Amino acid sequence: MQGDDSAGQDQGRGRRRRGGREGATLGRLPMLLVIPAGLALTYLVAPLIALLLRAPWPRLPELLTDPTALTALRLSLVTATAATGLCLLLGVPLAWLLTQPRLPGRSVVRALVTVPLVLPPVVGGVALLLLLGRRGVLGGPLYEATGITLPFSTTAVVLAEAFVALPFLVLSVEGALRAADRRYEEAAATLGADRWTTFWRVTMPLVAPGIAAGAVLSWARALGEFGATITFAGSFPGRTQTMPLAVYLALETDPDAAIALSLVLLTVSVATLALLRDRWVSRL
Amino acid sequence: MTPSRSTGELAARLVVRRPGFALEVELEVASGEVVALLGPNGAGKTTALRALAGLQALDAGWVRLNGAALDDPAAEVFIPAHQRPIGVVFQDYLLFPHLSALDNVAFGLRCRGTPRAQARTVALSWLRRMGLSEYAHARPRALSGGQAQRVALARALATDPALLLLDEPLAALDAATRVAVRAELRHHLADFAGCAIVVTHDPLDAMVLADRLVVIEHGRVVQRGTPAQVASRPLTPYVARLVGLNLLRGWAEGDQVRLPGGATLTFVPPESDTTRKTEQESGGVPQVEADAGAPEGGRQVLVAFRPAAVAVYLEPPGGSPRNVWPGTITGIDPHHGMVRLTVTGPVPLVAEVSTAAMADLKLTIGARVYVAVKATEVDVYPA
Repeated sequence: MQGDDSAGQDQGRGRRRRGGREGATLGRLPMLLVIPAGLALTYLVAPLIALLLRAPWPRLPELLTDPTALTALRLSLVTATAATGLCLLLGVPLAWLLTQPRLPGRSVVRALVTVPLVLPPVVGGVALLLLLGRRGVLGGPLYEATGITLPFSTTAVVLAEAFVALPFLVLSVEGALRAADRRYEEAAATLGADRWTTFWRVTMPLVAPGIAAGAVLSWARALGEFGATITFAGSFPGRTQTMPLAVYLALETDPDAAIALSLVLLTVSVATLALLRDRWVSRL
Repeated sequence: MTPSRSTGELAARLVVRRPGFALEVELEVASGEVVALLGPNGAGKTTALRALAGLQALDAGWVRLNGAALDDPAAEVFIPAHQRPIGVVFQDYLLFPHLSALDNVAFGLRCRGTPRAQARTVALSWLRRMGLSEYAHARPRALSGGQAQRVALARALATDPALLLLDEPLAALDAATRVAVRAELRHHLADFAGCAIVVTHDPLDAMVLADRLVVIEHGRVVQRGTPAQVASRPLTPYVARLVGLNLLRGWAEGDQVRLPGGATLTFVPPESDTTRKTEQESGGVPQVEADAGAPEGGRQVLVAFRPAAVAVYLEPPGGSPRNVWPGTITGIDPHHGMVRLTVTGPVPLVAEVSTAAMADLKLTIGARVYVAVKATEVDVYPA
């Protein structure tokens, strides 16, 4: 912190001051802002440190190679990847549609896309159950016609995860599309490309980094999905019991196993952050 | 010399209306002809180019290329951009950053169904023609401005378009590359068999590249003609400034021109048969309606003369020059080793004097001077 006496010196030195002292021109930082800011940061980081401190490091190999843990891990990876695939398949066209200037009611569509972001995941699970359950709006006729029931299956896990992850992908890709220079599409048109060709050969490659970022974000969200999954798919080991569900159940029987599984999820989250570092964190 | 305008392969009447702006331009371009669309920023040049390319629909008018209608609102015809036989070189080239130079050039052929291998062979031959074969696999970001411009030209030409549109093709280049690329572009345009339109705000680009100029201001054509015609007989102050001439408007009677401020100017009228011949040669040059019957007698004319033809004196000169007017110096700008003086007064004009003369006369802003123009130095022609 700079004292009052240094203000005169600063004026005397004019523009030769170096970066470290820039802030001093506006006076010292108010403690009433600095202290809560520090508390907030601590609050975000301290639980994770506690997790690391209490981790059963010696037992870790044994805990993580436990068949239950491995099964949950494998199921999580498979379902999160499948959900991301589903998000890409449906979300990229939706993001593209959102950027079309002639789309009627675009703001309404955009608001609908963001609903799963703010909706409690449990509510999402209940809603999915009411739509796709054996007696659901669509699930009922489906069951009567084909005998297929979706809830409490691995497919249900994928559907629940895709439901909560889709907005992340759509918003990320939409942002990339908006930032892209649309004149490349005009250039493609003058070269004889119809809109379909332009979409695949010009637009998609231009926004590929945005799609990749959105996919990673959706994948991370799907991997951590809990509420919608347990409501719509239940918790059957090997079939619907993903990592977060296994963590929750293990907490009652074997807390060490829960911590070990949590560490895996934490590692994945940090790795995701590292992957997206250039795109997201540095801009914030 | 001047290609016949009646056999134009491209015939267009472009009408685009937007709030606060209206474009209304007629264009005809023959095969093998290069026409420059010259005008200041905001004149509507780029809108005209986009309308021709199909990136902007017309509100009225038509675009016909080799007899086929591409856009005709009255007949409800609109061929979208990707179905028009038109190549475009965009101002900043818009080379696809994720494709190599070769794949950029092959893009149009691929879109038109040419098999990949064949498209690449053709693309490579175009790059070779542009002297860029060693850059075939380079990404656009690795190319210099001049190289990128040539790739863009190759990309537009590779599909063998009937009409080539170039939007400020040299604007993105630095001055040094510009000279070389301009000469090269001229060479490639000369080889091109279709119609070509160059949009530019640079008179030099227009005069070097084009067989014919169409000058537009505020969405309207203000002058058409060969570069020589436009350079020697500008019809608007904008064109006069572009080609570096003083331009005055007045009413001619005998060897006198009455100027708006009440001053008169004496000139040497050409012999009548010469006048007719000049007007014939210039074809449709004066597009601004000729005002044959001026209210107070005399025909409306334009008077053009070079800044260097203006002499500057501190005292009224005696002797021969008859066109002498008082004035005040309001601007002094260096110009290619000379000095250009902006003189306001009854006859506002620009005079060009040597630095030595300038120092000799101790000319400063605000100085009261007399300017003189010799009768033999002025060109008077119908407005």
